[in-house]
Amino acid sequence: MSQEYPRFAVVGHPNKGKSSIVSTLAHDESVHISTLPGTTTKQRSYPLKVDGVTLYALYDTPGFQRARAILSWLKQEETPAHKRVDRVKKFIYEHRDNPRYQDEIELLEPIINGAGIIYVVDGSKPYGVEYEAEMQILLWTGQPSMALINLIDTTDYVAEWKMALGQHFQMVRLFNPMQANFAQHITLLESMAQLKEEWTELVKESIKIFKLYQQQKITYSSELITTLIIDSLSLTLTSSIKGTQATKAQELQLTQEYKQKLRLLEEEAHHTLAKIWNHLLLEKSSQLLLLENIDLFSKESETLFGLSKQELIATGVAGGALTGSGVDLMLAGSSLMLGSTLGAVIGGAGALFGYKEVAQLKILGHKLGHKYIQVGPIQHANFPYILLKRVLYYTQEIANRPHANRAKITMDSSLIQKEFTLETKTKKTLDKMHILLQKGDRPKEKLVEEYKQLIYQILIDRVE
Amino acid sequence: MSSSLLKTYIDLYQLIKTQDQTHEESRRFGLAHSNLLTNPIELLDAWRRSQLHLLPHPSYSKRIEDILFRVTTLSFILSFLFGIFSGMGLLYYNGDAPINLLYFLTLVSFVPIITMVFTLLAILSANKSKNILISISPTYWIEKIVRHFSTKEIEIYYNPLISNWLLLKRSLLLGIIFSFAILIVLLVSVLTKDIAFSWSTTLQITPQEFHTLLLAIALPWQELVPQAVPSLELIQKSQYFRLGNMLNSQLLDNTMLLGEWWKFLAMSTIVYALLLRIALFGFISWGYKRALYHSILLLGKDILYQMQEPLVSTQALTKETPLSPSQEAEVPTTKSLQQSYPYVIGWAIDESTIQLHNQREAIETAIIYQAGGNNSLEEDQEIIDTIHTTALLYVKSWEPPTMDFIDFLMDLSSKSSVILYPLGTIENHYMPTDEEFAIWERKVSLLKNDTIRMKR
Repeated sequence: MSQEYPRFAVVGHPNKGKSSIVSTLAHDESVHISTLPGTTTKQRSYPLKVDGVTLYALYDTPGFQRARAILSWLKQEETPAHKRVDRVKKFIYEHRDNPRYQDEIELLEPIINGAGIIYVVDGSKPYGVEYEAEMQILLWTGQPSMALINLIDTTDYVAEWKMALGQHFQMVRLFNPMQANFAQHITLLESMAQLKEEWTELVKESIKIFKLYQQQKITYSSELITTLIIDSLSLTLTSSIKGTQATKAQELQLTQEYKQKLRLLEEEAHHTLAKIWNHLLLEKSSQLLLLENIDLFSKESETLFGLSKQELIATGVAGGALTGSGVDLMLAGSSLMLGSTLGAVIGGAGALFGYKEVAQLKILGHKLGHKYIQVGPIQHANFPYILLKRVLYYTQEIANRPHANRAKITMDSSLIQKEFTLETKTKKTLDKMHILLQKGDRPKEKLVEEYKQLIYQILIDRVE
Repeated sequence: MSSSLLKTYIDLYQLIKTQDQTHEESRRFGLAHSNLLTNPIELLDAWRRSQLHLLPHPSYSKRIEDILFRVTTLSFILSFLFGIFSGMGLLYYNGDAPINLLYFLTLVSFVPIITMVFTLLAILSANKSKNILISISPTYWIEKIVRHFSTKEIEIYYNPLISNWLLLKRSLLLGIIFSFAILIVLLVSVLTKDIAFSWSTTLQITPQEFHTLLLAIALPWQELVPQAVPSLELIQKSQYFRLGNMLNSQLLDNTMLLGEWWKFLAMSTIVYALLLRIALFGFISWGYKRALYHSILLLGKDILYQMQEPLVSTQALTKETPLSPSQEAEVPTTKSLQQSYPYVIGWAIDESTIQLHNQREAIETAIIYQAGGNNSLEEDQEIIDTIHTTALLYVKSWEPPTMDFIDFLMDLSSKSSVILYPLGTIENHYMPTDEEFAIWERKVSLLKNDTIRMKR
């Protein structure tokens, strides 16, 4: 029975948001949340584990159904305060197979096994005397306890709830699982750490771990966003040209494929982000990445052994110069570098004029040259920001979204562009990489790292 | 490390691209190999080895190594043959006229120096993807041609950091083999023929000037192998002027001496064409290894991060099986109330509130009861026992019906008919919301009890 880590059972009246609180505190979207009461029928544990070691565990439990009947049973015998917990244990033992009390047994069991009590009420509805039997039963367990006032609605009965709950619980806190951000989650954990002295250190350790967990998620997100930007901005699609030039249909098809590929990259990134933040079930109502007004750069070109014409000319010049320099050397410099100069000119000219002819040559049935049409990279200066702001906005939304809040994420493109502004200094650094990628160059690792750091900083500022 | 760094890099590349490694798997591996956590390259290699069975056969590394082997073998054979033929051409001697050593000297000392300068310049920009100096290299072109005609499609990202260093390394090796072949030809020629060397140029170079140049060339070995340093006398006596088909008489007088040049030429080949290249080869090999280390770390950065970062999980370990909704039946509802009821009961509602609602609805009643709430079960039973006709039962709509209430309702309905009236909050003008009413309606419907009606 004795487990070293702290456990907390989230208990209360039916339909007061216990599962929502657990979902938000455990960052778990798989917790079933329903407007119908009584949907949680079994206790379920949500451990915070670090490398397989549990630091604390939360228990979601069914709501009280026959609190008065249980209290009545408990009070049937005169029980001194120090024996009351045994009386509760006896109740569980005797009624384990009684279907009438299944919900209470499910909720009392973790408490009897040492879990602290987190009693949940709805502060937007008036206090009622029917709660008193529940609170008294919990008092009989003798476990450390706190009450959480959950504001399900906009009306406020917090004051009267505080008055009532203050008489039964060590502490009373307000917590809205539908709106709670990371900081509020941490504040609540800090309160839970105070419930029992023996738990303080472990819960504080859990807080550190949660912060690390949050940082990990932000790190993963910034890496993913950077990869999305690099992949999207450097994306090119090519198609071989059979005749002398590409047909309109071929160009159109390649352009469509390009758009699809870009959208797919974005969609995959969003999906991975949802996975990072444990929000895979969250629905998204999003406009497609609009590419209609963005010019997709396309060109026709030819390569010889994978070298473009410019590259081949440069190679010809350097190779010619090298050969010529040998002649200069043999003449002990008396040729006044004429050999190198002539070599460079001949090499360059040869590549310039011979490029097409050599490209058309066939050896073993293979053409040495390769003619193709290419779409991308997109040259539009604002496109990187359209993409970046969309993915940053999406990350911000899912990162700040408590797991109890299952409402759709709406991604209105014009709103995102308007609301999401970036500082000029930040933009300058981002631009460095955008320009490089749009030119078709591969950015240096240092620049990619710098970019990633900026994205990390933006997310740190926006993820509460 | 058990295999080559290049193989490690390519395998890692393929594994990372094809395997969806979770943080949990990576961290588990990291913890199981905690002794390697401070040595990331070893850790990544250990991970690669543990995952090798997942790679399709043949793996990229095998295919690329095959290509590299083919390219290397072809380059080496060509280079060796080229060296042999160049040596034979340069040392061709039929006895009519001496061999002009300037050609040979150029090939074994000046050309290596120039190519090595280019190599050093290429090293400076080896990390750039477009490196023109590297594309001058014959190995670059041989590789291009082999890849162009290769039927196998190697999709590996051609990391310039690695490929440039690899090309530099192999270009240098090619030069070493070429020079080695020339040295062999020189030694074989010296051994099997009586070669006469001379020097000849149209330029106005005096033997003294030429001597100064050769002394500079021979500087590295002049102390170690002094016999391989040409003397001024040798230079003077081996200067060759072609006058028609005649040889100058000085040459004819010193034919025995002219063969002495081979020592100088051999040492030039060994020092400039071989040793210097070998030294540069060592440096490039170090650079290549460093580039590979760097690339492996860059490639495995994410996996290393996952191996080193603690694995945090907060989710439930078991799947939830929520209660599936039961089949609902229709509940009779009434929109209007009677003017009077013999009994009005409030469930967890105090008497003053019950009276308020009675007034609001203009209901007259003789008896008001408070049930639930702080009542004991016995008190509730007493209330039920007194009731014999229709009872109006107020409930708080915002509090979902518990089984405690259902027990009471079932007992009550067995004695009388019940009008269940869910009241809303004061903010909602005592009207239940649709959602609240639906919850009550659903619960009551499950009771399938005709004596209970709901006030809408």
